[in-house]
Amino acid sequence: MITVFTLTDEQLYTKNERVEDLILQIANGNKNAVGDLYELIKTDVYAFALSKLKNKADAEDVLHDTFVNVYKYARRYTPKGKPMSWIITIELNLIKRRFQLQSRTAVFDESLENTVSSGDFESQRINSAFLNELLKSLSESEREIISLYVVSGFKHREIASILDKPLSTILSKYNRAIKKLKIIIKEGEDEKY
Amino acid sequence: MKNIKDKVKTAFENETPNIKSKVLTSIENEVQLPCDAVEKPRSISTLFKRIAVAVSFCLIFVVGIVSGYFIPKNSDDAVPLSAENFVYLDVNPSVELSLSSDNLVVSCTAGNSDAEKILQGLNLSGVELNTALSAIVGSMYVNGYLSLEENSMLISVDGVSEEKTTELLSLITQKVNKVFENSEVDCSIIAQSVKGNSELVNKAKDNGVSIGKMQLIDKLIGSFDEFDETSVSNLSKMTIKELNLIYNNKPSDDESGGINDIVSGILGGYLDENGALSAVKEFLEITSSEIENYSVRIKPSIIGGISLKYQVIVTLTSGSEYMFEVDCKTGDVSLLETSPTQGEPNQNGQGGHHGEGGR
Repeated sequence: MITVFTLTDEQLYTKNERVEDLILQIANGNKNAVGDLYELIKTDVYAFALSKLKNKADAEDVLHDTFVNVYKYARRYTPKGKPMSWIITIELNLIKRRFQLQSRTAVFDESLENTVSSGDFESQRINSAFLNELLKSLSESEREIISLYVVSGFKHREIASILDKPLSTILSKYNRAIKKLKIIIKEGEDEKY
Repeated sequence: MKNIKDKVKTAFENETPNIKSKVLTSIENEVQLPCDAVEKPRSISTLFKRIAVAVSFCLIFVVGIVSGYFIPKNSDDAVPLSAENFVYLDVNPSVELSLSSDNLVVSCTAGNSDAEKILQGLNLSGVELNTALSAIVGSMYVNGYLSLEENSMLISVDGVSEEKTTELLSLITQKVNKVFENSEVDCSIIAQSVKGNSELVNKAKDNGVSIGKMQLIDKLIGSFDEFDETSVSNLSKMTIKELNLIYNNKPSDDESGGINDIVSGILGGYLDENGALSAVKEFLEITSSEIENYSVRIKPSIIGGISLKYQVIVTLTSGSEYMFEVDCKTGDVSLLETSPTQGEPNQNGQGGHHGEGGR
């Protein structure tokens, strides 16, 4: 199992630098850099999409389209030390467009549970069941904040800026989400997931 | 806490599909778009920006006055306009506009002496609402009531119907934002619908404020435990900017009642939440990486007059927890409490931190 910790300022800075460097390489036509960028931030991008859309297939489409658009628009990126914000903004626009095309009500993807029952490793089953509960129990805004803060390592203030919401809202929603997650984990321990 | 974060991150990682080859195949057929051809405007100095802003507002003001005097609006003078909708604009000047059904100004009244000053020389009767707003907002700027530091406006609408109220709120908010669009002044707007019942009208009259401001005050009393009906007189003396700062930090689970939205803007002249947290970090001599979690909330105090302070609760990665008060204006930090596991703070209320990054 891969164990990843929340990034410190220094680690995040390094990651940001790497992401920015890769975007600049892509802008110079280096297609291999798209692959490197994918490996580096695929979970960040997918987690945010899944948090918003609650649908595995849609999230996968957004994951794909985000990297294609990063390639397409890389020359328009202005290096400001915030490459992840730029990428998440691209992704957010794709998600909004998807919402416009479909019904605004996200349909919860039961395939997550189907994935769980496919006889994989126990730890994977537990993780999937936990994710399933997370997607069901947290509100859309709580999920997006958790994915940006925990998975991508954004600061609360950066999340407030990306989502265009007051910092106090982000903080209270984050705290509420963490409380819910504690309950989910506690119940999971009782139910063995 | 770390366990929760690890669990969330691992769960997402396990679910992330591997579509790298699909992405690489897709970009083979994609053409990269060129850089934007539009050349970015040259940055100009702050001084020139300020001058440009002042000139633009003066122009708006002048256009407003000229329009107010010379452009015929209500051509059918024989039929007097009847007031159906009421708009209250509060900064510190408090202006009341009554409007006809087709958004022509029936009357424009100064609610206080500041408003008398900004309405001096303006004849807005029969003028279209858009023109009147340009003139009023321009005059507020020219007379120094709106600036980088004083940038808050309360817009309240009492419409003949819910639809009309919504329409006017949207129209006025857009117009005011438009006036500020090309300036460096970022106006922070609270827009709300009001219903001028006799109780609210009398209460507003007793306290010398507009009914819009009175409703906002009532809302704050309902939202904050620190306030009750005895706070009305103190709150009435506060500027819209000060009330806005409190309103911006009302408990997040509090429903907004009649207040529709905080439309835009960042308050000038006050420490924002991030500034309050920075003051605390400086006080504890710690970096962001040492903070596990934190919350920042406005804590208005009415002891000896109203003062605005942030309450900042910080949990460090070492497990220590602190509660501070940070003055919204000066950034002065006072330590209120530490978690039981921590040593008592020093006599002067400082030096409670014993974590890794401590002094």
